[in-house]
This record gives sequence, structure tokens and C-alpha cells, in this order.
Amino acid sequence: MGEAPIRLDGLTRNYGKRRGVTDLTFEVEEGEIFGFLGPNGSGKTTTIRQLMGQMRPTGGIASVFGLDCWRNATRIKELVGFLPGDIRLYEKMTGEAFLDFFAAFRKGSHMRLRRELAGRLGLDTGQKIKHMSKGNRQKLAVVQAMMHDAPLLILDEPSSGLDPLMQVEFVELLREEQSRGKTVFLSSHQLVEVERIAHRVAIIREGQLVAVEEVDRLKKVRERRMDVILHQPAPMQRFKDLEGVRVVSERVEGKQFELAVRGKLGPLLRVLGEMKVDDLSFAPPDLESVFLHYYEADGRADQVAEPKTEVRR
Amino acid sequence: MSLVMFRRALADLRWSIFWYSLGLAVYAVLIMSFYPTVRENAQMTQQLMEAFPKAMMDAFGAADMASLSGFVGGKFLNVMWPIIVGVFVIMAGAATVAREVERGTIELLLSVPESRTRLLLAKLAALLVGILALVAVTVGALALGAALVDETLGLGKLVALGAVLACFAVAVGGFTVLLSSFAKERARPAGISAGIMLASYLAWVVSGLSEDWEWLKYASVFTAFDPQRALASGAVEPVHLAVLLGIGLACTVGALIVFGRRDAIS
Repeated sequence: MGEAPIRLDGLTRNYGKRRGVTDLTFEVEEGEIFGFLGPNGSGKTTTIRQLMGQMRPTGGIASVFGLDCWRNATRIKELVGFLPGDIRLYEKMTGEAFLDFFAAFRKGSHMRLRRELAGRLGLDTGQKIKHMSKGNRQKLAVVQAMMHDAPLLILDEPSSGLDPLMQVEFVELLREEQSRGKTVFLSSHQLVEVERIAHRVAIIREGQLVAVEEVDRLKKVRERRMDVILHQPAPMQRFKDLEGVRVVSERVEGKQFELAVRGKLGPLLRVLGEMKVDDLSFAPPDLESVFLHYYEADGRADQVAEPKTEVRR
Repeated sequence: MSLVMFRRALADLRWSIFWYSLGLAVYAVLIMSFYPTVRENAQMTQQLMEAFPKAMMDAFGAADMASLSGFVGGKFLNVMWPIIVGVFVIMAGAATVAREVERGTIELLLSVPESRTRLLLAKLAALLVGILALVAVTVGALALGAALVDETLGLGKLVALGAVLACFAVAVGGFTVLLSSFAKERARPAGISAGIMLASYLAWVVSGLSEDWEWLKYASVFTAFDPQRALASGAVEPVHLAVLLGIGLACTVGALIVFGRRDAIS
């Protein structure tokens, strides 16, 4: 189509006293899976609602395939499969009637695709929506978003409510969509989820864009927390000497360490391999550490509080 | 207008339309079945009515209880019908936009490739079908009831009555939908609309009680609502119908503009 599937240029939305989004500028390229990452309440849904023409920007432009999202709201929806963040469905309908209703607004029925999607997600569409579990509602909304075979998917927190197995299947579905030339824009508040799926991410915090980054590069800068319990005490210096490893705390006379690990894991694992380790837990990557990294680079590190360290004995 | 939305909206209203229709039909036939008693005691009824202050009887639409139109007007069309149909129209009209926003379904609904105008027009068309169905059932049931008690209501009278009833319901539906287009929950436009109806009715009653208060009639939709006259003579006041339709139409246009510009959800 030529034009970028999604382009934001200085997009701003004020809510009066409440925070909206300010001066968001980035572009999503055709055929990529693009993550939109930020904590809850950071402005992801506000941005997506403007992309879907449900809310008018107070400044700047949001466009989909070169079409203004507010002025051409009807046209852009032919090009988008949409999954809202807060799934609210028509409770009295069956899943089948719900899908029929949304399919009827578009050309072509795509029944085969719809059945295939429902089958792969293990969704029984014959059930009434009011009797469906949260997970099944989410699956139904996912099928609805994907069944139109639209060139762009805009998915707001798509995997919330899906169990881990279904999340794997869902990621697989997105990869297949991408291999067929589709563009996927998905929001999440979980760094680990975005890392698993996306190629590039835009990171947002308190309504402002922090960075647009390749996921591979992001993996080098973000920290993960590791709790290590050793059988014998070890000198803290052994960890401190390692590149990318920071000792957050030392407890129980050198037997317990909380470490923050950035970048490659190999050197740390080799050191641990030489010790007798009683227990080890490794937390998912930490979004706050990403903010800290970019704010440090900007000289605004004071805007991010250091992640709290839990004290255990 | 979106046909898909129209079919869906009509399907959502179908049971309401059915039950309200049934209620109106039963009520109309039942009232009519009492008419022979009044007809046979016309003189006594009239004397009884004259015992009340005329202004009061006029105000409650109960003057001339001895004639068929006076009886049906006083017992059914002047007050009871607007209440019953008012509830239907207010509940359905208030739901058009506000319930989708309240339930959060608006976000998915507005993800379909249809303009907001066409979506809302479809919902309004379904509401109009509901109104016309209730009016048709009312008029049909009255004609049937009249036949059962050996009275005849001519086609002209029935058509005139239908026009008055429909225009009134369209006006009520119009301002309710306009209120709904601003709202985030259904209860608010429904409550305000019911309040407007009540205030409007009171204004009309008070305007008939004293010349000092006559000006109040211009603030009431009930001034333009005279089903009894339509039933009695088959005559309608074109200005009244135009005012009622005008309110309905102007409010509908307002609702389309408001809905077209508002944040769907915030």
C-alpha cells in the first residue's frame, strides 16, 4: 500500500486534569510485529482509541495506511482487525451470533478462517457469551479481530486472560499472520510478553514516549532480578566483578544475594556453576529498569524511582 | 443506514415491542368493553361529570365521558397511553447510545467499518418501527373493540388518531435519543426524559386551570397531543403534528451530530 500501516505525528490528547498522551511520534512498518509497551495507565489504550477513531486527538495526527484516523474512521476500519483492551461483549448473544454480527459488516465471510481460528484456540462458539469464562471471552474477541483477514491488527493487551498454552498458540498465530504480510500492533504492560512476540517496541510512560527500540537492543539494556541462595557464603566481589551484574543486596552473611542482571547471562551462570547453589529464582525482565536506562541516557534518571527491593530473611 | 445494525437493533427490541403491544391491545379492548355501560347511562354519566369543575375534567381529559371518543380518550388515550408508550420509548431511546457506552460494547461496535451516523440511524429506524408497531396495535385494537360493542370508528378517524399518537411518540423518542447521545449511562437520559414528560404534563394541566397560567401550554408537548379530538372528528391540527415531528426530527439531527463528535468512551 506504500503508506505506513500506523503513523503517529505529535499525537496529543488532553483530558483536562487527568493525564492523556503527549506528543507521540513513531511509525510502524509494513509486515512487522510492533509492541507498544508501558505500565497500566500510561496511555496505551488512549493512543489505541485514537487510532481506532473512537476519540479525537487534541493535537497531532494518527494515521492508518495514510488515512487520518478521525476523519477517515470508517474507511480505516475496513483495514483493521481490532481487539479492545477491556473486553465487553454482547452478553445475550452466542459466540456464533456475535461473530456473524461483526462479519456481516464486512465483505466476504471468511468462514474457513473463522472456524480455523476458533478451533486452534479451542473455543466453543455455540455457548452464550454470558456463560463464557474470561478466557473464552478473550478468545472470542481474538477470533473476531483476526477473522476479517485485515492487513493490520491492532490488539490492546491481547494475551491477558489467555492461559500459558493458549498464549503460545496465540503467538504462533501472530507469527503466521506476519508471514502472510500482515502488520501487527499490540500493546502490553509486560516486557517479557512483548519481547517474545515483537520485533520493535515503542515504550510509553505517563503519556510520553520514552523510546522506540528494536527488541534485540532492548534485551541488552533491561535488567532481570535474580535471587540466589548459596550453601556456603561467597564474597560479594565475585558477582561485582562481572560485567552487567549489580548486587542489589546481600543477606544471611554472604549466603543470599539479590542480583540485577543486564545483558548476557553466560558469565554469571559460569560463576554460579562453581558454587553450591541451594536455590535460585529469576524474575521476568523489569520494565522500570528499562525506563531507568533511557532516563539515565537523557539525564532524567530522577524521574524513575529505583525498583523496590523486597527484604527477606 | 446500516442494515446489519438495523436488523440487530430490531431483534433487540422485538420482545419489548411484543409485550407492550400485547398490553396495549388488551387494555384497549378491555376499556372498550366497558363502553356499553356508559353509553346506556349517558345522561347519568354526564351529570356525574358536571359535578366536577370543568377545568379539572378538561385538564385530565375526562370531559365528555359519554361519547365514545370522550370515554376512550379519558380512560386510555389522553393519559394512560402516553405513560405506557412513554416508558417504552424512553427506555429504548435512552438505550440507543448510552447503554453501549455504559456496557463498554461501544468500543467493539465502533470498530466496524460503518459510520457512526449510519449506525445510529439504524438504531433510530428500529425504534421508529417499534413506535409505529405500538401505534398500529393501539389503533387496530380500538377498531376491534369498537366493533365488539357495535360502534364504528371510520378509517379517517383511525388514521387521524394514528398520526397524532405516532407524532407524539416520535417527539418523546427524539429528545430521549438526544439526551442519550451525550450520556455515559442509560439511567440518566431515561430519568431526565421521564422528568421532562412529567413537567410537560403538569405544565399542560396547570395551563388549563387559569388564564394567568395559559402561557404554560407553549412549554408542553401535551398541548399538541389531542388524540381524543382525532378520534371524535377525524380532524388533526397540522401545526400540532408539525411541531411534534419537528421536535423529533431536530432532536434526531442533534443526536447524530453529538454522537458523531463525542469520544466513544473515555
